[in-house]
Amino acid sequence: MTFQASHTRLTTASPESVWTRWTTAADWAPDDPGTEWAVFDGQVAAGETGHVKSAGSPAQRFTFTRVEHHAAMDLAIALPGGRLEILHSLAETPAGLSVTHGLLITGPLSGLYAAVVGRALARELPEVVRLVTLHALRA
Amino acid sequence: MTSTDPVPLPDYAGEAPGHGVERVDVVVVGAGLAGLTAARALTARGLAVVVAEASDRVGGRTKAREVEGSLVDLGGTFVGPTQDRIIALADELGLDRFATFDAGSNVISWRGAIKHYRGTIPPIGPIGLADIGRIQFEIDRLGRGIDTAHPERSPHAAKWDSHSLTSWLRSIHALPSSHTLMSIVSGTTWGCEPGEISFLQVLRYIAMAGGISRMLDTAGGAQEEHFRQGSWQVSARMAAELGDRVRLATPVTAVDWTDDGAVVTAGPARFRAARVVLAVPPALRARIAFSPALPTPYSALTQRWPQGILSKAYAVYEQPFWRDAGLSGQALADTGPVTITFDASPHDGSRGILLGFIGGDHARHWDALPPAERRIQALSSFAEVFGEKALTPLGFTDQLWAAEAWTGGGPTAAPAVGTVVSTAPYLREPVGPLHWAGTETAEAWTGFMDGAVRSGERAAREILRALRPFAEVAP
Ligand SMILES: Cc1cc2nc3c(=O)[nH]c(=O)nc-3n(C[C@H](O)[C@H](O)[C@H](O)COP(=O)(O)OP(=O)(O)OC[C@H]3O[C@@H](n4cnc5c(N)ncnc54)[C@H](O)[C@@H]3O)c2cc1C
Repeated sequence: MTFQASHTRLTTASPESVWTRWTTAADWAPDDPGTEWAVFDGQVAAGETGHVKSAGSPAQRFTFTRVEHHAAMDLAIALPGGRLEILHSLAETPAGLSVTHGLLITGPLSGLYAAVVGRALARELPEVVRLVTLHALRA
Repeated sequence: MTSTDPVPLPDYAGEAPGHGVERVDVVVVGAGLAGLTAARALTARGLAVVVAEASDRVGGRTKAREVEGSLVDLGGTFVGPTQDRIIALADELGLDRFATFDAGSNVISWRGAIKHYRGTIPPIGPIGLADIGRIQFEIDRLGRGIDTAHPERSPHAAKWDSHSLTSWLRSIHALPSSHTLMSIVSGTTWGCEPGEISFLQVLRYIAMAGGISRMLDTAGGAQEEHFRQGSWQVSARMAAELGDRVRLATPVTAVDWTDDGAVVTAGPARFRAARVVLAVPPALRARIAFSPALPTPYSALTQRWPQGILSKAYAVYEQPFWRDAGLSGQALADTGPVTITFDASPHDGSRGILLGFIGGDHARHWDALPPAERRIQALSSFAEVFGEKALTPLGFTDQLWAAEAWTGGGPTAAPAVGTVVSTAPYLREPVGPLHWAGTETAEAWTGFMDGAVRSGERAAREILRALRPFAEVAP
């Protein structure tokens, strides 16, 4: 069983400025009202790790699973009986820059995690994408 | 020019006011639908009237613009059953109406999924539907008990006024889905978040419209029809009839009054009149210095009935392409910035026009963006529900009502929690020679064009009774 959700918004912001928001740990909290802080242990590169603290839950360790310059940045958090993946992608289209944030929950307990955190995180996606693009525009 | 010819769009050039003190029977402040209706009625009864309008155009919250050869209504647009006064006025002025396109499926973007549905009930799941159904029932039931003309006299008035729409929803344990739906309704109906508006005003407003369905529906509701020539023509044609009685670019800054009359100052222009009609939104009354000062509750009213924030986006396409896909052009979205759309294509379908509403917090955010970003985000909202074709319109325009200096927001005032009981009694009660008009003062369809017309008619009746005591005045 899996649970997934995503939200896409077009923007006039540049790919560089959106990419900078994603790859700067200090920008995660201002861009996501549900995040208290984030730190990266090393580079933003596949296999590297970091920690993120969401409001109301302990800090979680995450691993970057895909990092493609100006195109995609995914990370995964291991949960007992499940896995939460946070997905980011960018695409230049004739209409503008398409910015997508998504989440994917897999594993035997994905149904439980979807009910406990997934739906709430999914509801926040439009606001997070709005803030990322807004802050990117101001850069 | 015959009365059915459209009045050309203004060049917004402005007109300098004259000098000296002009004597008239009545000064009307504000050339929106309310002020112009009052002026027209008073002029028809032989009174000498001047209409002082701050802006360089008439129409107030109705405004027109041409986009790629198509006319769009930037403010008030739709009319529907029981909105008899705006419809009668528009008929008299030679305007035609046509049905808002309503055939096919509606679309909802809900919790990340796109769904199509028929009729007015969105597919948000049986539990969500049952919850919103009970909320609608309860609001309509409570609304029937409200004295809409005097909300402060209603049973439990203070209790309902102490709630916002949000706190009331919480008190009845509404589901998150109902909070979201009511937030969409609140954003477009009052231009505010449900936590900002007094629940007493919510009940009163909906009751005045004849219930939630009447207020929100297309067929059989307030969105049933629109004017072929555009709603701005109602004001434009009244202004054309009134001729040079209407003074543009004449912002009234001061009113010195006694029980016998008033001197109205608008820049270098001064008018002496027996009566004054103030047909401006309550919050805008604060820009006028009254001498002597208005009694305290009246000045409190100007601070406690702030305007909501509602913006509009229009995209004009070669064809109404969504119709080919069996879609009505009506959509709801829980994401934004656009949360409600309508098919606003011309009556002959010669172009496809999508209208999107952006209200409350969405408008606060969206209005602050650069124009190109506003455009791409609005088109992105259209594309989310109607597909990629929506991204490439022939033309696009938007209208930010909060940025209009002499309107200050829209579509109407959104009085905050705890303010309605103490201020509503002073909404339309005259003070000496000063009479109040404007949709916020209406006793039916407040917030709508119909309410504006009704309020202008009522203010005119008050003045005719005072100045022509022996003439017959309709009740
Ligand atoms: C986006 C939007 C969508 C809407 N959609 C609908 C709809 O579909 N159907 C519907 O029925 N209604 C709709 N409405 C509401 C409708 O437009 C208003 O209720 C109506 O137009 C209000 O008319 P009014 O005369 O009361 O006020 P206004 O139109 O605000 O007129 C007041 C006038 O006073 C002038 N003024 C202000 N201060 C001064 C001053 N100091 N001196 C001189 N002049 C001054 C202003 O410039 C303005 O012209 C909508 C409104 C908006 C903003």
